[in-house]
Amino acid sequence: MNRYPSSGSGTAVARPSARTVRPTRVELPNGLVVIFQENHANPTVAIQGLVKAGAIFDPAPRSGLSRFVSAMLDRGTTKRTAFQQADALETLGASIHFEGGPETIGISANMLSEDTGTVLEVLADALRNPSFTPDQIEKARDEMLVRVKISNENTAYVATRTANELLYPPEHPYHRPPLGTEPTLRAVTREDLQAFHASHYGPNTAVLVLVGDVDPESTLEPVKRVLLDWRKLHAPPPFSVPRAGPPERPRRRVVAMKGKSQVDVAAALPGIARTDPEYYAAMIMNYVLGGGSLSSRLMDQLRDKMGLVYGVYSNLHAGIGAGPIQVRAGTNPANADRTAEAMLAEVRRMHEEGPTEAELEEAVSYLTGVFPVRMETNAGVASQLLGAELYGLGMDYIERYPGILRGIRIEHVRDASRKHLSLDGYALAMAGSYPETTEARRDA
Amino acid sequence: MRGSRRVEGVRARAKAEVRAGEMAAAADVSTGGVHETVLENGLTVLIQEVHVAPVVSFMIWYKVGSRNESAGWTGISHLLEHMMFKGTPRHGKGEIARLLQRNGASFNAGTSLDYTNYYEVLAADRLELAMEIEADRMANALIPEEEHRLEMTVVRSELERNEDNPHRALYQDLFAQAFEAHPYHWPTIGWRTDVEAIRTEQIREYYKSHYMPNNAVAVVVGDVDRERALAMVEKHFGGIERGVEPLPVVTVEPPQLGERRFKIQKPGDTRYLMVGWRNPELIHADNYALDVLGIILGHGKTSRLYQSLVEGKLATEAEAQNETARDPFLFIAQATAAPGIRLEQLEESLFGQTERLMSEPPSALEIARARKQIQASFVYSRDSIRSLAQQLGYYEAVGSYTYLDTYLDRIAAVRPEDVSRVARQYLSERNRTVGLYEPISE
Repeated sequence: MNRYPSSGSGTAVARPSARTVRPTRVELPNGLVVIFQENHANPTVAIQGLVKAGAIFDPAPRSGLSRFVSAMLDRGTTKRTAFQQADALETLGASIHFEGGPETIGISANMLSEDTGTVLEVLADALRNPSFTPDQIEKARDEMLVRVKISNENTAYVATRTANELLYPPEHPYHRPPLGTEPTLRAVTREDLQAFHASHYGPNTAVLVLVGDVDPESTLEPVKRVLLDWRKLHAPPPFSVPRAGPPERPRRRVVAMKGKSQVDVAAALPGIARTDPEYYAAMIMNYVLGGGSLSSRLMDQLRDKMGLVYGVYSNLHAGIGAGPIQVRAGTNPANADRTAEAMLAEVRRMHEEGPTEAELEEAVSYLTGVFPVRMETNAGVASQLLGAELYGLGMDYIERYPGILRGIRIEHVRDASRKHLSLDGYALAMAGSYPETTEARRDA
Repeated sequence: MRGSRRVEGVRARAKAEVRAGEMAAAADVSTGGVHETVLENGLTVLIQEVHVAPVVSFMIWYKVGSRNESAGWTGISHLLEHMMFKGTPRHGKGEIARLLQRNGASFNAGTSLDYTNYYEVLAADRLELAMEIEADRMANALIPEEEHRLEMTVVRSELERNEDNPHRALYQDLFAQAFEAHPYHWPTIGWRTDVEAIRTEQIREYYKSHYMPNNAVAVVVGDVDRERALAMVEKHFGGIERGVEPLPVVTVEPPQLGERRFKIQKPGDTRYLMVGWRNPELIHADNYALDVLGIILGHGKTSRLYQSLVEGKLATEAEAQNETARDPFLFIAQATAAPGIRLEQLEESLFGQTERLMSEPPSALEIARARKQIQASFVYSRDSIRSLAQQLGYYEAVGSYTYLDTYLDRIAAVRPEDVSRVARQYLSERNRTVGLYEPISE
């Protein structure tokens, strides 16, 4: 055990770090995958987990159902009322959160290590036994309806949502809003919630990662105590998303919103899946284009050179399915068209030229350098391991990652750019107080 | 993070357990994990070794924020923060960001009421790069006029982004109503016309009069050796000359003598309520009980507001927090109305809860739960060198990091009667400002 060393020792020897210890992966007989990584520096444990029960499983007339189910997990079980669930955690200074995502339901929890057993029991109860009382269903429904309203007043949400709707055909899961809409949320019944839970929540659709002050030998016991008798799902729905090609021609739409100071511009192109061998090249392509850095091409051009925006970012939503490559920025309504054109011009330039050698080198240098920074916390390590499990990257993924990136050559990134940034078919949406005079150009 | 009007409140404060010795000017205090040194030029240096991951966090905190501004040039602290990325003679435009990225650093800057900070989190063996950059821009920022002109579009875009956010709009009006004389009256980002009118020369002048070692705190937390880190700070910052201390902020907000109200009416669908009660300055002893009160009233699902407003189907969200700052600030409660619920109903229920706490002390169980939540969050924050550094820097910039030394003991000493007493003293009708966000259809 590498306990927190006393300070002021005056020496700078390399200390054994939890980050150099390999994680332990266990698959229980019922299919539940549990991963542990020890770090005894602090008497705390972080849990990150998932259930393969995200919005891709929403039936078309019930968009929002998956999120609705996840919102019910901490609203009472057959053992505890909602208050008792919260009290059991808050009394310990612990927390559990469920986050409904497009493909999976995310689980995150924090606890003092002495309370790991109790928190696991509360977590297992929430996942296995939600009671779906009519009273709590109505409260969750109201909360989701308000969330939809708030989102529909948000120009950034409306622009990206609209771009996704233009990019994916109506029958595709990514076309539908994971938050749901007012009519679809109103239509959800208690039976819908119970049926979705019964068919999607099981040990063989779940993964739990525990990082921190845990001992894989002894911590497996409390996990088994509360989850070993969780009945396996006989036929879990296939965890996959159909591929969608690009639209045949560019599709554009303007959504007029009243009383807004900004227009948000969102462009979307079909992306790639996380398991695609081209993923790493595409990730570097995205980083150079606008993946969060202050000196990305988009930031350099639209923010620093043209002064159009506060921030402009591109995102590669690579999941089990090929989520979109999105570019988004908020701008003054008078600059909306210029912003859209400048955005597309940078996408086009990357498509045609790819990155320069220097850009590739800088990207690899940043991404490998920032990797340990991102894993500075137990939750950071846990989320990397969770991704490694979900996408089958192996438990040595964290060690292999820098080498994978250093192996990417300029041709790989150029190929990825040529393949994935074509502007023959893309979606572009603008939302906000778009100038009246040009509003006629809807659906160009 | 830029222009964030969020103030570190109890949640931020309750993040790290820090052991430290007494304050001693120009002396090394070596008790516990934090080592404080004041360089000859007045730069305060706080170093804490944490050897969990091969990573270090470096921060520079300037004791200047919108609190130091005046009418006519509000927003200048934030504007200056933007200009600090525009280069020095040694590092050309964009090079600071490029160098840090190349070295795998996570970095940014932020401006608030009482401070402006710059931070880097990076591999421990690259610490010197962060120091070299921060020392360089402490003394040599160029602030070119052309860059200022270009940056204005970016700042305008940030202003507009804020205007479109109901919560930010409510916060802004709440501060403007609750503070009439004190600089907390205006938003950190500034009034739009002021920001538009500020000249480059003013920014340079403001930079010269506020960015100096004797108005700053340097924080190093992570996988470093204390002696070597201190030598590195001395090497890079030791040569920067001490400046003339900025003028102190003298304005004291007069007492509030009655309830204040305001309403924002914009197109939309959702109603919000926000209430602020004036609280005392950060170091005031009443804040311990107010912090506990904030948790009992409005933190988590067991809280009084969640149980009454959300479980009572009046709101979809409800929370409260004692937000503290260097000067007296606000205890804030806020709620989002459930569909079909009027704001008067929310108000009635919210004030019912605050009144009950005035007349009837909370249970020992509630006190124990609040205390445990604060204690646990201290332990959690030790998982992150960034949050440790953030905490040390914040408290040193607005008061003293040694405040954290006794914080948990003072929280543990809060009794149920204390919570009722501060509720009566601060959460009165006379001391509150009530903000309503009432959507209109056009």
